[in-house]
Amino acid sequence: MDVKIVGRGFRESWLVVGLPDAGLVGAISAAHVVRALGLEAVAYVESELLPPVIVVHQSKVCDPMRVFGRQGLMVLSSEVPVHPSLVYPLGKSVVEWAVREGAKGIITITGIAVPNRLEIETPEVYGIAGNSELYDVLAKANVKSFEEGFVVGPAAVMMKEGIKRGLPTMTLLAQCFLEYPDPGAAAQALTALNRILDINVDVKPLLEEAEMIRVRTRELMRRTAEVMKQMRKGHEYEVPLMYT
Amino acid sequence: MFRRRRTIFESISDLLDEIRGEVERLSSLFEDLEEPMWNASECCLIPLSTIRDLGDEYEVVVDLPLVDSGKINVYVEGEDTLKVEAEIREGVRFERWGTVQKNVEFRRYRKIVRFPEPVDPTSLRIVSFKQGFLVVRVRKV
Repeated sequence: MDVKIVGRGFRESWLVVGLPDAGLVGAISAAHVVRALGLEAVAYVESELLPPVIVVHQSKVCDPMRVFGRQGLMVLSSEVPVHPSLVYPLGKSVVEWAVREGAKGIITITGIAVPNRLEIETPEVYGIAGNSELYDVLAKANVKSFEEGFVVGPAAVMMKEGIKRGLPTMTLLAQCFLEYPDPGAAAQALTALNRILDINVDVKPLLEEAEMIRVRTRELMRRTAEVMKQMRKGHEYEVPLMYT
Repeated sequence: MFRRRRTIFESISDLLDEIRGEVERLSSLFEDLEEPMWNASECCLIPLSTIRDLGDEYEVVVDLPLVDSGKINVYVEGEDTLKVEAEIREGVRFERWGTVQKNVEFRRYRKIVRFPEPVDPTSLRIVSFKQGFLVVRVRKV
């Protein structure tokens, strides 16, 4: 079944993808960037694989999965979880759209769940890059590389597709809770993004309003946790065969 | 004394009843995704929680943002039910959200967790309350 991105993007602009996933790190990060920079919706995702949902914001009917942006920066954000059946077609369509619109590249923000998150005050952020030049970009931004392990979900598909199509692609993984919204992890991921793209998204509000964000995102987290189980997100805890 | 042999249909019917009962018991252990996570009439929110089987005990984690440590009441009711009630600091309002909820100030959390097996209510202990996460453990019987 088809997934279409309807609308135009900005040439020579990075596309930051933040979808609901572990700790809602990507979703919270994307929503915060959109709000902090006052980005306007420029495109939306159309698919029968999405739940039959509209979102009403200030009396205006909106699609639940949209691209916001301005010259230099675009953000794909979703207010509904990504069902496993949507992961592949969505990942491919997003990369295809980014290539068609002449985007500079894709940076996916996601969470990597750690069992001892309660003991961690400042979560670490790790990066995966599609090529060695991009690993240099991560290193310059002080982002440690994610050396071994599994990544499950839309970030994995976008990474693979991006490499296949020669589109610069990176993934940022912030240590987080698996099944609880984690604004603290999102703040760290955005701090890394600021350094990589040389932008200045203020993360202070994320930390100051962290408790309220946890209250407001409970429902999305509950639905996302259900979807993650179907996607075998727990795989990320495992050791890959080639490492042994 | 003569006992009538049960027909195969009666046996299948009994088996189906047994399976139905088991399905109902198991589904009661999991949260219904369609249940709202708030109760407007009682001004309470349902927090996120997880339960972990540690072998001889269960560990329950409940996410309680906007709660102070002295405002939590946690206890075991009966032999398999954990109840958590907590007061929300200053109350929470969602001014533009929904039709009913926007007029409500939510003042407390209430959570009911059912254990898959009976537990010893006297063994309940609070392990920690850190960053708004309540961690409790209770021993299996």
